[in-house]
Amino acid sequence: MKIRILIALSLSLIAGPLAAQTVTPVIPVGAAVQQQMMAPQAPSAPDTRPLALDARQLSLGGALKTPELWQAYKAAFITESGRVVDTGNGLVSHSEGQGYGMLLAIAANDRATFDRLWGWTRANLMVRDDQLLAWRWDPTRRPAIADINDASDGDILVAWALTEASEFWGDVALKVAARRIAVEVGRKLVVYKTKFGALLLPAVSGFAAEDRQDGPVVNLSYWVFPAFARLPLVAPEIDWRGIVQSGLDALKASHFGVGGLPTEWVSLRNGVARPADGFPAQFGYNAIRIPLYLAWAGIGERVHYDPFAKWAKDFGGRAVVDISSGREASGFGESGYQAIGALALCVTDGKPLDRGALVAHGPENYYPATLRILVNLAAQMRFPSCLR
Amino acid sequence: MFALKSRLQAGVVAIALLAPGLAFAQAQSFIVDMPNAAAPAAAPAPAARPAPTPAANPAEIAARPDVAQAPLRAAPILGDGEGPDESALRYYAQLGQMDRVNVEIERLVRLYPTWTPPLDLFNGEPPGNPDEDVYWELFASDKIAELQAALDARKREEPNWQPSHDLATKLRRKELRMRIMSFWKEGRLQDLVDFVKKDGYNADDADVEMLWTIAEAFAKTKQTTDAVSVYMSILKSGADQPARLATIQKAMAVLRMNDVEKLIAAGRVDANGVSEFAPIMVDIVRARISAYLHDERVEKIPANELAVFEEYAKTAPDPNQPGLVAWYFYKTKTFRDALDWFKLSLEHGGDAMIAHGLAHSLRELDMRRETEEVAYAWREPLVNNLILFIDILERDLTLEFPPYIEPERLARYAKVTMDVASGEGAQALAWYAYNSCQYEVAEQWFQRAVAWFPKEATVYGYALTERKLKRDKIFWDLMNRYDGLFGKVVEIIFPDGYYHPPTPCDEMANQKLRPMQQKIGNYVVPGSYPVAQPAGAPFNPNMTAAQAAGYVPYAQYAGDYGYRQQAPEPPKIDRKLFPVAIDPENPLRYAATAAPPASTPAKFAQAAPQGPLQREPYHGPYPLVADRVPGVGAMPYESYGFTLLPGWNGINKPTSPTYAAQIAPAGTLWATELPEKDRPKTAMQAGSGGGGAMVAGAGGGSIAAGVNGAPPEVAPTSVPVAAPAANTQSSVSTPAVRVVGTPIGVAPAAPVQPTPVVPAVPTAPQPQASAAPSAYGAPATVQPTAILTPQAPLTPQLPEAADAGTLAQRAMQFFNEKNYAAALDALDRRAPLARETTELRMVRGWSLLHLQRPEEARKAFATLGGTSGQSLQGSR
Repeated sequence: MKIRILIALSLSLIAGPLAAQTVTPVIPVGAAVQQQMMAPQAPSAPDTRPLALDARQLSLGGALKTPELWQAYKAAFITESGRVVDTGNGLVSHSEGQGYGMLLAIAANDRATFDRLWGWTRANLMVRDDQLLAWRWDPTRRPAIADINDASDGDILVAWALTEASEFWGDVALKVAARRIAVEVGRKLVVYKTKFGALLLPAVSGFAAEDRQDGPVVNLSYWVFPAFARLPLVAPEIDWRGIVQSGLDALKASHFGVGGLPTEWVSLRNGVARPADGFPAQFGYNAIRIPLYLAWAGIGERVHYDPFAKWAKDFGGRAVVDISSGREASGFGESGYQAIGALALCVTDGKPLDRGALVAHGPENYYPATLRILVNLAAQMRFPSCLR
Repeated sequence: MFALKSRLQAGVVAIALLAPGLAFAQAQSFIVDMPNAAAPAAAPAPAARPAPTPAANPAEIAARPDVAQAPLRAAPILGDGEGPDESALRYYAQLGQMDRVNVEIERLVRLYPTWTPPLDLFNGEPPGNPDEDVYWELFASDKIAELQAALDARKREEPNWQPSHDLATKLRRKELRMRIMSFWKEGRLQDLVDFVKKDGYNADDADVEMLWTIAEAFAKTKQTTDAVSVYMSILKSGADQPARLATIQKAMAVLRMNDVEKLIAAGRVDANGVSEFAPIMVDIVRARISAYLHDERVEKIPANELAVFEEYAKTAPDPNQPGLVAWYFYKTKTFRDALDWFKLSLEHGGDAMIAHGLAHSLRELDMRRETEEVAYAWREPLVNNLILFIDILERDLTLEFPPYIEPERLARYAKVTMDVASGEGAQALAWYAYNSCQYEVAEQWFQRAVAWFPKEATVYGYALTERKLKRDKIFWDLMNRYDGLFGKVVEIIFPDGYYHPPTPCDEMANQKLRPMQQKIGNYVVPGSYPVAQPAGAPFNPNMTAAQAAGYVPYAQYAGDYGYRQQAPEPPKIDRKLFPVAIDPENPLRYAATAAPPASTPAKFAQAAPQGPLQREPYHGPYPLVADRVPGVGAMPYESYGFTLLPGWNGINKPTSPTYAAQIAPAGTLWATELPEKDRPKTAMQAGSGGGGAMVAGAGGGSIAAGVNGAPPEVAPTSVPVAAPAANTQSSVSTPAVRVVGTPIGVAPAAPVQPTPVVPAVPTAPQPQASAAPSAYGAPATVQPTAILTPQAPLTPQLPEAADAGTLAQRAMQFFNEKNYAAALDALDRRAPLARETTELRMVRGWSLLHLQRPEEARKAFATLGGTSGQSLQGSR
């Protein structure tokens, strides 16, 4: 197994949560990829066909049609007490992972496991003095809460899961909890009336214009687009549509470098998008989720998907990309990541998803396994034509 | 306290934001006055109309006298913007082909049931060439491709032949319309506007309905300027009045009101200064209110315009119309008017959101008891009300000297808390029990609170309780588990070195101190030791027992006030107890108790089998030294020279200010809230024009002052909030009747639930289960030792309360808020209704003392022995 390092370890003084993803050390660009990148590209006319997207309001409850995937996922990553274990990252847990687990439990109609997950989440992560969740929990440390800051994607994922669960199981207690978190997101994490509209901060602390010279800094993968269509069920007063639009607009403005891919962290200072200071200017473990969320919500236009489709074609969906050079900075390593590239090509080209990419062929870590099962779920909900 | 206020503020923010949503929804459902959306060609010549004259001020539309009574209403315009094409009909009419005229009329009526043939059907242009009949038939049946093919064939046969100008023009128009409508129906709005911009369109070729469609497409693709231009072109054309009115209404549905105002300003004004848009003034004002609620409009609605809408809303069957007025007044902080309009809306069938507005209006008017009732009654239809119900009572429950709360109210609060697994409710009940010296009960609630929402103050209360109960294992587990995270918790074993007074419960338990207590009359004033009045010394009514003891409250949070009794020395702590390794996972879990609904969507889905889960993969070793946590301040033991390990991201210093104390980022709703210290406690304090936007914080506090609301260790209760400057005159509803004067939302149709009878302790197996309600029913005594600073007397003007219970509750509340004049006033008004209990008599006595009326106070205390009712001494 490759040695993994935490993204933010080199950014020790930058306050705030980072998505609990891992990166592999930078390795030389592989010959095959180099050859691929150097190969002459035949100019082609831009594809202007409208995308066949499905943005209907869909309930998540019971939407997962492959229960065996859920059973395997549970057995591998969810403890008996309801903790989702990031096996590739020192066995830590985080709000984002709890949110993913809760969403999958709802999709699998697994109320018992959902209750374990939510019970653990609130008992261990809701230690802040507001309604948001501390983002990182590490069983090897004292205290286990490694950071009192929140991560807005984790907050949103949990609020979304509670919303879906309250609708699916008719549970008012979950609706109360969902509303409290969702309103707090709208209150503390959204900067309104910017040049991009209602911007989602990555966390309460550390990323606003007051906190950084290049602030506000955003993480475009924290826009959990499918959540924003459902959160009005519990917090209709929040401008979720405006948040969606700002995400789409910020993404459109963040086509950096030759590949047009966004970086993990983007500065939107003065309404201008550029790679944020102090972070590697890479498309990697965070931003890979952007096409997943777009497709899962059934929104966006070609201009939003095309860079990811190109990345899927150029790199097989396997590469962390250095934005300035457009080259592979490292490989994602495990095969689960490739499912996202396949989903992007399903959206843009109608290309059927490779069955082999939808199931694991051996042990894998939490994060790629999560992305893979989420791609399954998104495809089953929004792109069944790609599963035939 | 801060946390709760934040939640309440969020709730109000929610209201403020939701109101526009409601209004917007209303605005989008305009019914347009457009019985005959005739094409421009059918309208009178522009020259026949008065010259357009922009209104001097778009905000001033002189109302026509009959507007309010009979606003112009008409049939809705079709959503797709299509209307009947009368071209073929007119052609046949000009040719005098009556059979075809009738067939075409039948066809159009079938397609457009509300359409009627134009009166000028036979007064049009001269007919075209009769040999075009076949082409007109194809035209009339929308067979455009066949028509084009036929025309092309004819041209090939007769190179010099051209279709008549009329046919060519109308064919071009129809092709344009069909193309645009095709885009529209397919939702390809961007393609539509691209087509229009690329190919251009001649306004002469576009009927008004097509122009509406084009304008709406521009608006929805955010090309606002183009949308305004298209709407403006309609107004500047010869469109008739219904079309002009409908244009404004269409524009209001898709554009911001600021843009619509430009169109309104371009309207014509008659000699009397009346705008041509006066017939739809109600709709315009509604949209302006909506814009105001959306923060898209800064100016308030002019009084004359608002009056017109109010007149309409009063009698409108739709409860959302008075509801809109109510939200407007709420937004303008005119809460008394908001209350009246919410009431009216509810009388008209307003929904739970209206009730929510009503409840928040009551809260802003400091009618907390009524707020609680309304929120409770409407808790099931709308979760917002349920949350408000939990939060509004939370403050009272967490006061150091909690006001009297009837057992049935506590019971229902406990049931709701259990039903929805509310951490907020559980900690409130826990503190109430703790401050009532009911530690066993407190433990049960704290366990749930820590399972559901383990914030610092709650864990702190749990630890205090476990120490009281001498459950050492649990206590030290908490010390070790939250070491490094919750300084307030660890401070229990690392005291801050300041003197803290004993709690009332401590006093009761300490028999040794009893002889030192102060006696007034026959009554031993609890909490009064160690005041030992020197013999013959004059009684100083301004000195509290705590002051006499040298204590300044909460001094640990403001060094200027306090003093250290001794230099800090490391406390002696058994190293077998702290620090020790511990599994960091919080093991507490409790499920909500709400009964599941009979049917849910989940019942129709395949339930997942219960496969195996993973065993916890990490079993230690667990560290003994805490890591630095980003966002957290210093630990108490750092003052003794101990230190922490670097945090996960390398930080090695405590965070200052802590994340909990950070300043809200500009642009967030959070930032629009006033700082806690500056926040008005009531709407009256906010004043009509004062206060910041989104001020909502009257809801009250959580558990205490201090870090994250955590109270000092031996006084784990809250600082009384500032006294309300009560200035309201209204009816008040009692818990039993709830309606005095006009109904306030507890109309018979409201979903009032029967009062549940539940144990106040959370789980059945607990031994306190059956006894708890009665335990709660005995309120904690009023121990005014912490009431330190005499408050300037304020004259309360409270709503009339109808029963002794409410007045007693108010008196307690005012006393806790140090508003002694208000407390006395409530007691005086209660006096004719019921005998004064010991607690209330104590409130009276101490209030009088604080108001520097010592002789009256002595009399009040002297009669304590002669009163009946629950008392501290009697119940303990």
